Amino acid sequence: MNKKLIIFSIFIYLLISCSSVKEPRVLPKSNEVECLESIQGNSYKYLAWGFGYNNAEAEEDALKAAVYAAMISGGAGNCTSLLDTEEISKSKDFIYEFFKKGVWYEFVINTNKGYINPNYRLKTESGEIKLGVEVIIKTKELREYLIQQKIIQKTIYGL
Amino acid sequence: MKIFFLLILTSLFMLKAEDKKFIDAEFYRKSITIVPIAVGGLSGYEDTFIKSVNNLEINKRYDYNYLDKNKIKSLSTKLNKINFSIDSAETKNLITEIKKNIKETILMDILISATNIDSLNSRFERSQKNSGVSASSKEKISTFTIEDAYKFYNGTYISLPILHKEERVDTDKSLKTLASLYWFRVNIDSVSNWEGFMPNINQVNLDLLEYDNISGLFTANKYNTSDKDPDFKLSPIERSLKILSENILISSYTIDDFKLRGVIQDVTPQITLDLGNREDVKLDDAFVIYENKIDNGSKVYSEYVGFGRVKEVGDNNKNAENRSILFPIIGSYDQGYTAVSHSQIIDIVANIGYGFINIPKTVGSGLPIIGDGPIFKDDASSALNLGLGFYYNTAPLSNISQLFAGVNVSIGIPLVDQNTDMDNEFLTLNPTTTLEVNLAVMKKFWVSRMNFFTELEFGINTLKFTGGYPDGDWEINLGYNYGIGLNIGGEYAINKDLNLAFQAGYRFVLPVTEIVLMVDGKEEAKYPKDFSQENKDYFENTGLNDLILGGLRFEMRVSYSLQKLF
Repeated sequence: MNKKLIIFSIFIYLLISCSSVKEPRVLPKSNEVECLESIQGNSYKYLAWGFGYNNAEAEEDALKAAVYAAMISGGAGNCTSLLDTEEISKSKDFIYEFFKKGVWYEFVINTNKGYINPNYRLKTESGEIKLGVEVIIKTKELREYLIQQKIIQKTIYGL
Repeated sequence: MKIFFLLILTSLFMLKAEDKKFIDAEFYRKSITIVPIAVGGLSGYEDTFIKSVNNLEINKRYDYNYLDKNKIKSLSTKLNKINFSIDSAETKNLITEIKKNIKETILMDILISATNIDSLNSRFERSQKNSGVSASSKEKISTFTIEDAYKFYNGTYISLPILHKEERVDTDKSLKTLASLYWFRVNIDSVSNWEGFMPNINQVNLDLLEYDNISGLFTANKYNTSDKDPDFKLSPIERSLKILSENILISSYTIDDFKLRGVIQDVTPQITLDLGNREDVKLDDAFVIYENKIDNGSKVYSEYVGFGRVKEVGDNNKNAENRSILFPIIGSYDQGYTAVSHSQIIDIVANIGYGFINIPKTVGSGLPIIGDGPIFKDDASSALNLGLGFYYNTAPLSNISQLFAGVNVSIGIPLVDQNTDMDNEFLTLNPTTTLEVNLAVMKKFWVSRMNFFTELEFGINTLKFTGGYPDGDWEINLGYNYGIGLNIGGEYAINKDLNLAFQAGYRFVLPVTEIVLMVDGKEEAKYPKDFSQENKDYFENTGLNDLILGGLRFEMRVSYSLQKLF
């Protein structure tokens, strides 16, 4: 009886352990990003939406989404992305590592830090929080970094 | 008992009704223009009415615009021609006509006034201090944009009280003025085709927010006709219109647009709200908390999540970062939730309970009218108590959270059979009751959704035997005896307005010292205990010395917070 109980307990323990060890998401879950304006020719301001099960998680996803838009997808609006299609397909590993190692965080400024606008904090029916954040991406610095890493070429892009 | 269930059902219904509506979290700075109009035979009072409105004590939460008297007259002249009557006050045709006349006479002046540079500067300064509740961005006034003007225009409200009737009652002791009150909101769709910062008048719509009937009742009494009253020199009509004008602002308390709203900023270690004394937040102010949600169809709505009270007011006049601290009563909150103010003027309390008393069955025997037969078949040792009270939260005045001052009245029905046959067959006897009237002070200590309270009462108790005879009524009153009581109990918040409590208490009442016999409301005879040996003996022999109107009691109480007085 005791053996059975121990085996059952171990089984339950393993089940719980396996289910709770979740690898953190590397790339942003959200792709809802709107480019709002260019700031002094060296940065772009975005309204980025992120998803998460708490405010902090959703905020991080939104920041990541904005960086992802600046580099790759461009987002809605008039901003262009720093990488073209060919560069994206060549740099898949770099992009993954860029987000995994948290390098992306150096190029983003959250203009709403410490303040959440309730109109931009929406809980979805699945229980996730969808958070809108106004973000400034230091596009010039990001571009220089990408040139340095030989992901893009110096002369092609104006910004 | 029915009333308790009715209150609970009503509250649950209200709770349900507030689900699924969208609440804009931003509290745009609003301007209010009150345009007092008098029509028909009361036109002569218009100047007095305008003066009363201009003298109103203004609320810091809004900006007030004042119109030139001639402009008000131009609208008044037009409204006097459209045959305003109380019966047609809410009809679509009349409202359309009123809107049309406002547009033709005063609307542009109100818009200019709402965005005049002085008003903008002061409003901007207030807005700038707190981006969370402001109408505009943090930019300086010099960079005031057309979008800012758009927000300010759409934050313009017009209150139109139309004075249409006066009533003199109680041989001219009271004067009541009555008005129909319309609240309009300026609604401009977009900023296209504007001339500079001004929209075209055809782009400006007026939305009717609320219609209400208000009145101002002035009743002359000893105090207000003496020079102790600061308004002593005002005429009755001026005083009635002053009260009417105050009721214009009171009517705004329950309009959603005027409810103050803020954002939950922190949840640890304390729940903070980005509002403070600059917005006239007071200790114990109640806020209903909403969370914005989005459904699968991308429709955004706000869902009620709870209710809390301000336990510490932030002084954001000194520093915009000073926030008020909210005590959560119902629900758990997160950063970014919207808090909407919820007015609670007074608590109405109903209670039912069981109390120990002692009324010997011989009480009253031998008195004229009652005769020899005892009133009760047995000694009464307990009573069913039914009470009603009104409690005011004194926190804004006393600066002590959840300290209530109240008045309550309770009747007790002795739980014993009463003799129905009187010695005199022409006399009748009503069911006997005790009466208790108290002034009370109560302090509540909240722990989440529960509170523990202690209440100290001071008042009078009396026991009356009443009945009739063929030509009128009789009454035997066992005097008004001072009593003091202490109650303690626990209360549970069913929702933001309704609380259910159980309490236990003890009341000490001074002994009966006199008996008064009244016939048809007039005193016929009085028997003070200490007047003569005969009276003393009577008190002793009939058990009056053993009469105890106080004692231990257990009660259930339901309280409901009224959002405004009627």
